[in-house]
Amino acid sequence: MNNHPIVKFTILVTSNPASKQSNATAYQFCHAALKAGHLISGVFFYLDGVLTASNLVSPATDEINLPSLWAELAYQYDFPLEVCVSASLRRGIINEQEAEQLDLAHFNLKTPFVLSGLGQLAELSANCDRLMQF
Amino acid sequence: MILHTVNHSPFSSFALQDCLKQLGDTDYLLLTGDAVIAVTVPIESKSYLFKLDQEKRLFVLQADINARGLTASYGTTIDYSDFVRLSIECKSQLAW
Amino acid sequence: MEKKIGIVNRQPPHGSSDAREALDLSLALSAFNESLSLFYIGDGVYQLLAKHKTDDILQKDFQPMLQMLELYDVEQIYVCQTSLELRNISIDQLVIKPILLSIEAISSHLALQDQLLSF
Repeated sequence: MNNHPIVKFTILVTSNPASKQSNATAYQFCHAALKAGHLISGVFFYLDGVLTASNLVSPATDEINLPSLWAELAYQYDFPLEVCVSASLRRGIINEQEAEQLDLAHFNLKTPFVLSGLGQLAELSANCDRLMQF
Repeated sequence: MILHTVNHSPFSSFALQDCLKQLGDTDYLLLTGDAVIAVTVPIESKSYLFKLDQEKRLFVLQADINARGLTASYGTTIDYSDFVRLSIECKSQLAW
Repeated sequence: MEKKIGIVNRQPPHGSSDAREALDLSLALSAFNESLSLFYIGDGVYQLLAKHKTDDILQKDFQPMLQMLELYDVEQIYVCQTSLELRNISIDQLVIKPILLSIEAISSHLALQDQLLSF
């Protein structure tokens, strides 16, 4: 199927999944890259992109659920979904540990998304062949 | 060599104009999302876009044309797998 | 070899969080990457115009953080001269002392980068 070299992509998603098409475009780009035999080193969510990591996103049944699509793709191809912790906290995306630390009653980070620092973006950026932003 | 991606309509944003100012001599331009509108009607930067097309450096995501009920008058229409290939062919991407 | 990363700042400050969060990201990346370049083009140049007073708009004044770029050894800070001129801003009105470049020179510096992030 592939007679071309395998390329490692890092994807930076800065767009809101509920209001911007770019978030879906990023998903479709990843899907196409993986189908072509390439690798996704990881997807890093920043700015309003972090809203993709909420497990409370509940669109109507005839609408697309991007957080679920991202989660399924990450499970299927085994790549990390990293979410910037500072961008997340200011937008109300919280994991169990942060909720405990900040004395918040709830947490809502969807699995397999993980909260991580911007250092993780540096790491992903260093260990890929191409970085794409959506 | 940069793959410039624009996703805003030329009628509501300066993104396309700003991008064209910075486009290098060998760079590619890919219109996605609302930016596909640019190749469906006469706009101010049409002659520049047309030149890019002649040089095979203008690409348009077909799915975004179809989704909006539009027809591209020029530009190389591509699918997502072509998008992946372009991103590999270019050294970097700049999203406008 | 370390990748050259360029961060392109295109939005004015305060109307959206793009400027502030792009600066957060730049400062964070500078700890891991010594080949970081910042570009300010278009409305992005307003981020550098001195004397922001944000008390009355419930937005954080991030200009003190711009001063930290120097502390973090981020020296490649490029500003589009044409963007400044179009907005009647002179270089001595800016909070930092960036390198002024023409549109063409910005393009050639962008082409040198291995990765570009845009806000």
